[in-house]
Amino acid sequence: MAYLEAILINVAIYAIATLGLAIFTGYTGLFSLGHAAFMAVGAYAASILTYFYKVPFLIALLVGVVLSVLVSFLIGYPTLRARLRSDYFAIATLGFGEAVKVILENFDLTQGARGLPGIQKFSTLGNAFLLLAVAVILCRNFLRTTYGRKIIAIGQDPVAAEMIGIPLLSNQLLSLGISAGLAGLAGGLLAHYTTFIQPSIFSMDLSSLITAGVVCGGMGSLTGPVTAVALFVIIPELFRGFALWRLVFYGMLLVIIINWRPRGLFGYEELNRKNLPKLFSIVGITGGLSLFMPTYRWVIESRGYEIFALFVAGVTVGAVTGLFGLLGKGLSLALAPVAERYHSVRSRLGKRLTGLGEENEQALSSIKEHRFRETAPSKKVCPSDATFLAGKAADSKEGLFSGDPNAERGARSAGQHIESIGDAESGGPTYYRETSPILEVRELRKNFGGVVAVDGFSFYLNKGELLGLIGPNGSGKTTVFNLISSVYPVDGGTILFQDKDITEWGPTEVVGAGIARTFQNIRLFGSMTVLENVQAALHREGTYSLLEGFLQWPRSVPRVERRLRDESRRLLSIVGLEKESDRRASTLPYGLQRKLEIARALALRPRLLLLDEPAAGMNPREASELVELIQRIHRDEDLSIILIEHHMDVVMSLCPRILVLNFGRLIAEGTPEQIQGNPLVLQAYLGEKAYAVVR
Amino acid sequence: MKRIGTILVVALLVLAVIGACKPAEKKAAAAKEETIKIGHTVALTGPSATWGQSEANALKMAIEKINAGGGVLGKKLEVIAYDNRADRMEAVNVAKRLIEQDKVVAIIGPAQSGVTNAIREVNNSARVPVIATTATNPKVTVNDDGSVVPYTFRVCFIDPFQGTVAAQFALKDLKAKTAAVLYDVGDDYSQFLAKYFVEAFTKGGGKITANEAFRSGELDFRAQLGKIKTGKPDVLFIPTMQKEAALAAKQARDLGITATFMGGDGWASPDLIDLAGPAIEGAYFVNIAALEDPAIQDFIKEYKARYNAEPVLPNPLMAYDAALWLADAIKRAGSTDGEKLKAALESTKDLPVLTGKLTLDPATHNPLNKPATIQQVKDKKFIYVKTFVTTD
Amino acid sequence: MFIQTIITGLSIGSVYALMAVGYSLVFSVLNFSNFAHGAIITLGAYIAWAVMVHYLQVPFFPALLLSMGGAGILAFLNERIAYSTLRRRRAPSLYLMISAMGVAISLQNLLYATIGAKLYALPPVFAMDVVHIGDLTISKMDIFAFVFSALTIAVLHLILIRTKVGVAIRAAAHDMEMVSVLGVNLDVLVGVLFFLAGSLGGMAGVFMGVKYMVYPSMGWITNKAYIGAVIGGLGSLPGAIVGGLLLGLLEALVSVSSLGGTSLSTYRDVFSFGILVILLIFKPTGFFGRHVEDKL
Repeated sequence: MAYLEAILINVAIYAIATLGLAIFTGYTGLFSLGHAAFMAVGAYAASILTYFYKVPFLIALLVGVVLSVLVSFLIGYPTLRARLRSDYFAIATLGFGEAVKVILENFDLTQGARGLPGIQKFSTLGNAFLLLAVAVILCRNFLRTTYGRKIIAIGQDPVAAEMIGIPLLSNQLLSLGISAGLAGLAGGLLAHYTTFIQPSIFSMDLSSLITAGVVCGGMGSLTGPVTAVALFVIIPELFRGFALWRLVFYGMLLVIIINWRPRGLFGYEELNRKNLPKLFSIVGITGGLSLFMPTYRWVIESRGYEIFALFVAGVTVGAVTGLFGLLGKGLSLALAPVAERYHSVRSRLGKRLTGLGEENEQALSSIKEHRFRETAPSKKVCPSDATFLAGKAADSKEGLFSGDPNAERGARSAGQHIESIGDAESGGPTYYRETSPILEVRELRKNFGGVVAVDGFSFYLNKGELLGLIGPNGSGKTTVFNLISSVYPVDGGTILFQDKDITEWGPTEVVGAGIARTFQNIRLFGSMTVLENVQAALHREGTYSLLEGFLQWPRSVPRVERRLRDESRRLLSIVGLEKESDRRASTLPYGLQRKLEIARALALRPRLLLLDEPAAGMNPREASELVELIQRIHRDEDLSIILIEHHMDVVMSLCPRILVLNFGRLIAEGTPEQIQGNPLVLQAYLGEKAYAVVR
Repeated sequence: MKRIGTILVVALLVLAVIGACKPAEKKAAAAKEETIKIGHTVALTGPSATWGQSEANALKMAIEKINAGGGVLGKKLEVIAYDNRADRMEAVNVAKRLIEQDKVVAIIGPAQSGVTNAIREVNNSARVPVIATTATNPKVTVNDDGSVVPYTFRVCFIDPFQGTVAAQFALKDLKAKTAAVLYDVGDDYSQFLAKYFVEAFTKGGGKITANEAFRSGELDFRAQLGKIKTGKPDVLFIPTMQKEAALAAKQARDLGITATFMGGDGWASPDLIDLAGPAIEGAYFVNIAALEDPAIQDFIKEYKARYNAEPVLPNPLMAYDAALWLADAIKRAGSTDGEKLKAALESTKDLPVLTGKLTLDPATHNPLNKPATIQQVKDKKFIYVKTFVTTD
Repeated sequence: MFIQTIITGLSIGSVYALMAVGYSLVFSVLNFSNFAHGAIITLGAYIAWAVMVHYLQVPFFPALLLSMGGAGILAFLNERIAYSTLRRRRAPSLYLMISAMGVAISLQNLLYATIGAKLYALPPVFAMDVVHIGDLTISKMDIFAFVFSALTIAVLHLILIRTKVGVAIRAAAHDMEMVSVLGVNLDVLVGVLFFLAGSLGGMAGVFMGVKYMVYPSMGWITNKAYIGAVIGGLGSLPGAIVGGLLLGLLEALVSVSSLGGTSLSTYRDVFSFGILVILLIFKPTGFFGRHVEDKL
């Protein structure tokens, strides 16, 4: 049994290390090849303390964890700050792992290559599993807090995360720190279990094992990697004779899993009722294989009967596996009603505790319905802006798709010399001049290589205005948004928001100032639920500390979380998505994903909302719903909005004032009627030749 | 279920293939009657396998001989051997398995100092004696505070002796005045042997011109050798395993270093000659035993007859001696109890074994007066040069 | 002594550079770190060992060609088995990296499990011959390897700029989708790419085998080549060469220097890594790498 105990302690230790890597690689999508080095730091720090200074075990472990975290900041800060792409980061960590080993080999305190022999054995089955349980619970708690959601969001889409005001560096560092801390804990336990350590233990093989655990267990899950690594430790013990082949199998498994089952064992999910049969069939295979071991001996010794012996062995494995599979299925079926009842009881209890009874919800939904009825359905929408404009001008359909380069060149020159007229015209109508502008952009400029994307574009936006920004493809509309929201640095010009110069501000500061946006190519956090997408954007309102988040204590943490959830539901109900709140965002239809982006942007409490083609890909009915939605949020949330849109009808029905951009310059400005009648606009959209035909 | 079936079929196929590839496990003939189990932790695969396999063969011979002579305490001895790949973590697992599952009374091996250190806690807390075969680092059997490690023994000499022998041979026989050292900082054996050589060489009046190191896994030492070359040493001491020694010898000769190469018992693999070729010709190294030793000729003949190969010294001799020693100790203890066995091992005096007479120093668990031989690489062979029993 | 160190550094660096080129070639098009390159290099060396020592006594040049061809085919198969599914699915580069790591772990340990950890030497091309210039010595094999590597890289360069496939590869390095829209068969293109990278790897393996020795974990040294490639800028061929040579020089120079009486030779990996991090902070794309921006 002592032997079994030894295996189980190993399981616990590697599971803790894998949990650490899962928190980092699994959620942020950055690949660390140097995690063994964090284990080494934790192991050495803890053992030096217990070995030379007779410090109590738990304190030594804690010091090891803290030191690992500090060392991880040492490597993480420069590399993450430089925004290395994942390959560079992986190689940097690989080099870091080697560097740590070099230092351990050369230091007197660590006794060089000889290492530290004769460390006392403090790790027991009890404390190892206790620590594993604590680690799993803390990690689970962490992922349910705003801090955890920020990290998941970054892993899903760093750009979108930044655009909802989540700073990348500090959060990635936090994730790396937690990850390194767990690795350090595992290292400390390992040292006090094997009772000796040397630099050579913390090799690439160790890093490979825990990486394989995370990948096979599922990136984006905690219990998956833990289960996977447990199997990785147990299975080779059943086949001591095959020890050499172990790593060959791990390697093959990595390739197979990542190619054909990239979500691993449980995918984004945790171990739950649904996964039980899966887990049991795996346990069954393991059990079957372990029975195979004695038969294998027999196979080897049964000269002449190998085929028969193999057959018997195969049948044994199959039978045991099948048995376990059935057992798993039966158990999960049996558990289903129990779980159902537990769930309903819990939710009922929860409701009573929060005081959010069903009446309240009913009241809420009736208000919503009322609002829906209030707004009149808008008119039919034409599918494309070009056809819309062309239709206004003439009924000719030729030349709409003018691929002729000459036509484009013509349009360019036309656009350039017409600009002055456009400027003169824009001086004409004044809509909200009496109120002060909330946003003022002067002489904005951006080059990509030799291409001028935005060429001295100036405009203003009044408080409470709903401004349309249109222009042909490639005219620089989205670039303007990217410059305002600081995705790209500005090459020239100034951006004033609420009288503050925000030209040089970083993306998260811009969001903090009150500017939110949506994306032309939808950028949601696909693996999160609809609700969580909005919750992630409410990160500023999670007012508890990290420690409180980890412990989910005191009671204020669940209360704050509940408030965030309720607020998210409210925001979802504004865009009409409250029924979908538990769906994974990536499974939503296209139109609803766009609405979710709007809800997520609203969660940032913006003063200014930048909508980048919210109606793209929508059918006329959806588009008309969207118009209604935008009108509603514009009114109710007291917002200023800039709208980029190709559905002309949407723009025309929403925006009293419209700017037209071509080749990065303003070519026209005015009311929808003025724009529709403006020959320059038509020319820009259709090209000179086509325009001539139309006319 | 279909997918599970596929997985199963694949798993079975893989296992079948492995089964076909892997030779049957080396296991002593399972005796029906009750036996005394002895564990053997040995590198049967990995870079140290050359010695390990030879060691396993020799141990088998020794045990059969003991059993043929009636066994011990009326029972036959049985060896349970597991491969530790000379890997420290693996060795810990192997030791646990031997002690806790197979219930061995004592363990022979490991052959490496680092690996023996690694399993120290395991066998000492379980009170199971370990007799290391070629673990030469002094700290294997003695704690940092000078106390002896109660259940760890060895049958070979220790590195300070080896280092001193090498230094004295260089000073007196080779008439060297200057020496340079190139060692592996990632390997404790190498690190310590280098240290002992430097100490003894300086003490004997020689001068160390350069003391350079590299990291395990590196292949190119020319930068360090270039530095060594400027000191024009008479002797270049390379206390590493055969791989690094061969590389260093080749690269040193390429750079035009004319010094005589010297090394320790890590060199004693025929691989050295294959790998280094003419560059290693004329080099000297310290070994625990030489094939020419008259006392072991019978053993060598028997080994050759049985395995159709020459034993790779020194491990087979050490394992053989360890088996004889252990059998004697069990007899004298009259029991397989760990504590009694330990006492019997400690009180061993003038026990005749293959390589001479074995007397143990109970204060250090090191055998007294173990001789060291100097061998030379000549005409692609290891040639016996001389034997040191003591140093001055 | 200083010049001798420089020569040593260039000799070490040229091995790194040759490895880094194959690695960078794959990166330039597929945008992921092919960690299996080290395993291909090792297998290339084993092919040479098999035909030169173990089974046949093939002379050096035919053996080199066989190795290059064999390693090329292995790299091609590697792509087909481990990457093509992911590539077609446009999986994130992290997945490709993990798959590559799986291949690397698997192949290296397969060698341990089958051929074993025994060390082998490849017969020398020039028997112990060195060229003496004054006090300096240069091994003929180094000169040969250096010149031959340079020639091969020059040929590769010609392939890339003169042949149709080469142009397609370079175009793909800019925009893979565009190239496939233009009617280039991406599977063939990537196949050729991996064959080229694998052959270079095979050559690096043979040179390593002759200069040093052949053993299962010799691919470990490619870690240094990766660092070299990153220093030079991933995906850039001149970057890979410059980065590899620079790293070799740095290592040689660090090995012979000392700080306050202690020799730095055992700390040289810390220096390699340190320079990598410092460079990445100030020039995140290496010396020659290009900056890729996402479209929003």
